[in-house]
Amino acid sequence: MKRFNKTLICILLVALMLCVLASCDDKPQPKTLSDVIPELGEHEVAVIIQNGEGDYAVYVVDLVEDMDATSSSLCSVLLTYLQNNKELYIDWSLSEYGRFINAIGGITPDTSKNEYVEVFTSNPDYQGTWAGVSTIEAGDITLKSASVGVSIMHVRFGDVIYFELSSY
Amino acid sequence: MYAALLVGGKEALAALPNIEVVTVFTAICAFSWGLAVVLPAVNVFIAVDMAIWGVNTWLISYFIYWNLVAICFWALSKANLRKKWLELALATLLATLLTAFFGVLTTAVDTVVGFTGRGFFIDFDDLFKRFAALYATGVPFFVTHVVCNFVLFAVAFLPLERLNYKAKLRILPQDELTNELNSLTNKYT
Repeated sequence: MKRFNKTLICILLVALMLCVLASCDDKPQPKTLSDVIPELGEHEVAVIIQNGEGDYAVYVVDLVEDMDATSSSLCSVLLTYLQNNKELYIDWSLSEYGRFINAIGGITPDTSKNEYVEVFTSNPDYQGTWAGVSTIEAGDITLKSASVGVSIMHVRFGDVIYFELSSY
Repeated sequence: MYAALLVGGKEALAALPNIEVVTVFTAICAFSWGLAVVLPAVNVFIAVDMAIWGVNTWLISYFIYWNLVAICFWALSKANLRKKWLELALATLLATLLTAFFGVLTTAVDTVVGFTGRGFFIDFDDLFKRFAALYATGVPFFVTHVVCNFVLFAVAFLPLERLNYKAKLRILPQDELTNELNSLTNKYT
């Protein structure tokens, strides 16, 4: 009887997990972003923050003239420059994996609703590669959710960094 | 009891990425107690983790991997190896290979399967390119995992096996104990 109960529990557990695993949904489709990304000069990068529906804050930085960079800059250094020189509001904390953005610009995630600041980049070296990675098509530029944090991600000439509110 | 050990062991080391004792406990449980004990323990562990951490693609990897570890070490126990050094060497080798496979499995699952919150979906676009990129980012963690399990198995597998054997002597009813002792006698003669 005891062995039967154990077997039955095992079968029920496996069946429960198979039911969960069998739930299906459609693959998320890329979103589009129209007329937001500016034309960039030779050494320029763009940082765009979606503060709300249709409300975007756009910052263009010349890495060479404004930041004395040669070919690239750490994203966190770029954001610090914007914080100090362009009055960009950033609330970030330091973790063992680097800086974590709690809020930026007009984006203030509500953690009780599982909201967070999602970082997108046009640089293929730092774009996420997992299944169904969040993708935004903006004309010729494809933004994908970044695979690393701002403390690791570099920004090169011509890159676009985009922040929006997401939830999981 | 083993399910509790697996859950407790995992949560205790949760802060250390890819350093875990679940593999060695699952292996020992399968080796010492057989499939009738290890499979329920492993699947209860996965169900409890699902309750704690929610549903996502990791569930698929866990379901495949931990049951595979259980089956592989149960199969190893059936080899009736007489020499302890050989048993240890094969157990350590098997654990190392399985742990290396874990990195490949989780990367493959995360490359192909996504979860929206409502359900799973499949994504085959640029499959090999995405797999390679995703695997590359995980290499430091996979190497840590493999090295830790290699050391853990080399050091702890035999002592834990002995401990479980002594526990069996205390726990098993007399007739089951007699059968167990007979099978051990056959194994070592």
